[in-house]
Amino acid sequence: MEAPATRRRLFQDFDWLLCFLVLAITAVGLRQIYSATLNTQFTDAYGQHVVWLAIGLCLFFVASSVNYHIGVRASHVLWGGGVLLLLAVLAFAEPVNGSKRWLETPFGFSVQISEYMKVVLILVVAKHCGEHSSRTLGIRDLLVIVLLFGAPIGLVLLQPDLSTSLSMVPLLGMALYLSRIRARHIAALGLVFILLLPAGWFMLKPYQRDRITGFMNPDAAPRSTGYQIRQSNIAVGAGGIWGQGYVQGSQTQLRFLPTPHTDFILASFAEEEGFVGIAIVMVLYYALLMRIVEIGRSAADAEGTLVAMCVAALLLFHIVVNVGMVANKLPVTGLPLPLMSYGGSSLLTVLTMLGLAHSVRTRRFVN
Amino acid sequence: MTWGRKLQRRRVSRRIVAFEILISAVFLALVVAFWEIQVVDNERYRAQAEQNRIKVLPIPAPRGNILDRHGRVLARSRISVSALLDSRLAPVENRLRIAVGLGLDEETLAERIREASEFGTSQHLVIKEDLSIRDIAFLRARRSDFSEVDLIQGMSRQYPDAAVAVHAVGYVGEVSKSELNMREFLLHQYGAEVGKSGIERQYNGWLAGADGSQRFLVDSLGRQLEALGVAEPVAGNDLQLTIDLDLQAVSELGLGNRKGAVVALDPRTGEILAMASAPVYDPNKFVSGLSRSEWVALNSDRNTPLLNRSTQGTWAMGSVFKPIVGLAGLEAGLAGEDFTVTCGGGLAYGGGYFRCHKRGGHGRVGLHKAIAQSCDVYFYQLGAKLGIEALARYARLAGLGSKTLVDLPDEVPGLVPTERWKIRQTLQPWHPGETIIVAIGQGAMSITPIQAAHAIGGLAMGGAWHRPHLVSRSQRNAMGEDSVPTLPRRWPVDPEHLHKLREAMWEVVNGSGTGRQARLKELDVCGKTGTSQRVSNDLRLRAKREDFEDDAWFVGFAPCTNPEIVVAVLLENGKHSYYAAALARDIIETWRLNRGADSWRDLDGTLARSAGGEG
Repeated sequence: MEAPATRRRLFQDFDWLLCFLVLAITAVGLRQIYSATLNTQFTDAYGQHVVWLAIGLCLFFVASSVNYHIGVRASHVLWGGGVLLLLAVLAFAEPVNGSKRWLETPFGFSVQISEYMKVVLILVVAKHCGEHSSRTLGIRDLLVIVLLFGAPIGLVLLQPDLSTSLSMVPLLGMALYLSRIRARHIAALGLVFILLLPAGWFMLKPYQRDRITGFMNPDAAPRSTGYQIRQSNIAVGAGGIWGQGYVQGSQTQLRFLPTPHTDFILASFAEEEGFVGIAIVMVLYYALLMRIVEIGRSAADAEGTLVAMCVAALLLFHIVVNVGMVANKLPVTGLPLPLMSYGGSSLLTVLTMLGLAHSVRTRRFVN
Repeated sequence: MTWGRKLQRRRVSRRIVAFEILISAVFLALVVAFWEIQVVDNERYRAQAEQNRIKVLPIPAPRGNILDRHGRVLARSRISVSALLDSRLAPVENRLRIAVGLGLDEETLAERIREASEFGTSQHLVIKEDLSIRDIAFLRARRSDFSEVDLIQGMSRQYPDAAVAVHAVGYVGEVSKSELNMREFLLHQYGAEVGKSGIERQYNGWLAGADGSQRFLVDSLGRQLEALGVAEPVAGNDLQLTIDLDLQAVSELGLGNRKGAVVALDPRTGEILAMASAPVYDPNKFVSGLSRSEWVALNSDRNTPLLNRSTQGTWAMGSVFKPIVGLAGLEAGLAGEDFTVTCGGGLAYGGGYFRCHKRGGHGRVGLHKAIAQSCDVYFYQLGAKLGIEALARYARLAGLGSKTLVDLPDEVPGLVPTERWKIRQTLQPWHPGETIIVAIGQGAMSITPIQAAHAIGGLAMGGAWHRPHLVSRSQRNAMGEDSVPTLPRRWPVDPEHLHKLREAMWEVVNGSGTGRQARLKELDVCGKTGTSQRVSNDLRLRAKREDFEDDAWFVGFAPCTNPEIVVAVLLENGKHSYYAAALARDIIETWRLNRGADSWRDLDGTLARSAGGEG
């Protein structure tokens, strides 16, 4: 099959708004990482993050310049390779904190295969749901999709890495949301999901259950999860309208706030920049998401729509889980805030996915 | 584009719009959540952030010293090191390690942490006072693990090794939950050290002072980054007692391991010169906190060491009551020269037979001889003539049956029975036999040793009872406390009657009487002995139990005219009053030697100085 005849005009069609939003959010994140790691053992996080950001922006441009149809067509091969690599992780990786996540490369750095798998799953969704976009999905199509998701999710669960495997679920959700499915199939899937929930509670590790109970009752365990939530709330609340000022937040600077440059970077930001700062950042994220959805709407074909919408779904999931935690509406999970938190794998994955979305954008006109 | 494809696009675009609405709703909810935390609850969280970064460490105030009348130390404060826990930060898993490392009971510690948070003092709970070098090393070595623990300079109460005047001085300990609700401890927080008994409690406000505090900027590891300000503590005030350490020491050494009590006071003013109770306990043990088992053991000890026998224990007064009965008889005109009784060793009265302590009888007995030889039959007869109401009235006039209002907590009033009391208490009518039993100081009547000294002392003063006290008038005026009344409670006694009683009590000690052990060569001592039954004579002789033996009394004063000291000695199960009289003599002799001394430098005694000095 020929690749659809889309016209590529990288510079004329360059999405300056998308780029501006990405750069603005990463700049705010970088600035906050500097403040949060000042005078700590993590001071080199700032420089490190600059390097990640540079690599990430390269990936963004590479991904936007490649025709996403090539990725979609190759998605089965990429998927097969990813599953093999996940098996390799389980077989060869050195456990860090009791979990096998990183695979050593011969080039001296290690990669987190599960992050790569997220990008691949977007392409897989685009391929499968895109091919059948004009008809109602049958039971066989559904089983294939469930298998395509089930294998990587199961392998990541075995690492074990609950939050990453959970973050794959929104992709599945978006795939089903945009497809035509019979009502009874939806009902059946919903039923299975509801039945899996209580079983899932018993599969949780004690510390994960603590996080949920700690969220319900933060004063019960002042130094563990409850402590994190309490200190995060204090930091956010003490920020007030205008904030304590850059590098002035006592919760951040005196280390009451745990992990102020990674998972709780938004709490640190909220303390120092206040509600005004938070509102600005929320507007930036909101604009970014709406822009990606707009890319999905204006895409040249179903594959393009699916790619952009999956990217939006994944970003929304990450943002809601992290921001909801900082806003004291959701329990603590170890998920970083996309584009702001310190950490290479999240940043590189997100920028690659945004590159994919951008690729859809620049190829929106069918000739 | 096919028709179906168009439909397809329309369906998808509807779902995209729905997704956009979802995104908008989620972001709106998040912004509202931040608004609530940052703007609505800002005050509360700012205060919590403040609490986080500012650590307040208390600077305990030194408690005032307690001194004897010559300035010798009975209790003092010593600098020590205390371990302070900020239990808001304390991880539960550290609790056991800290408890084990400091030798504390983990459950008690957990309980105290819980209570501290209940009383809002979780920030600085003293978990152990007066740390040993070992404790300090344990905590210092784990400074980074136990960021919730601080070492501060504490103040520990210290009583002399051979603790003196234990029951009068009292002890300090951690304020209890129920005490926190009392008015007298209003200014103290949970975990504070307060006076628990005796003078320590009575004058807690004067002795305690006010703790200061120091504020630091700290990080989350509790490291002090910067000192922000100091509120200096206000030291507690010293308190001088009227007790003379020498008399006190002689009293306590005299009591030894017997059970009993001694009260010596100056009847001219009411100043207490010695107040002893035996057995004693070690007040130092309360300072660092007793374990629950130690506390239970102390409380359930059959010998009741915690009881201040001189103000909190009551006994039958025995024959020591007789001078008061005699005075009642004289004042009522019933015990004149013409009233004599023939004692044949007992008296049949009201359907019963009442023995005299002397089986062979005293023969013909007047008031003088009746007191000197303690003839029971004479007082049976006199009591019968007076009746219970007159007896009770005179007993009450002498200060029996009501608190002396000495400046110590938890004094008990004792009991002077009347007909009305009996009916109310037992619903039985008063029996005439009970009257004559009360007349020899037995029966339902019970008194405290301080009442004995107070009553006889006032009598010897010619009917002027000064309120007994441990802190002198001038000191109390300086404290701004209600002063002890300067004027005594008076009951003008006919000097003639007083003279008769004094002669009889002189005879007790210096003549043919029962108190010859109290005699002094250089000084006239008057007094009265007493033995009071705890159980019936028959039962005592049959059971042969130590705690059924008679209690022994001696109350004496000197000089006989214009007395300056009155001493009451009670020996529980003392059998005979010989020893009580001898102890009173030693105390009066010591007083004679110390007479006129204004400061300990004037004193000769080496014993007391070593007991009260640096220990």
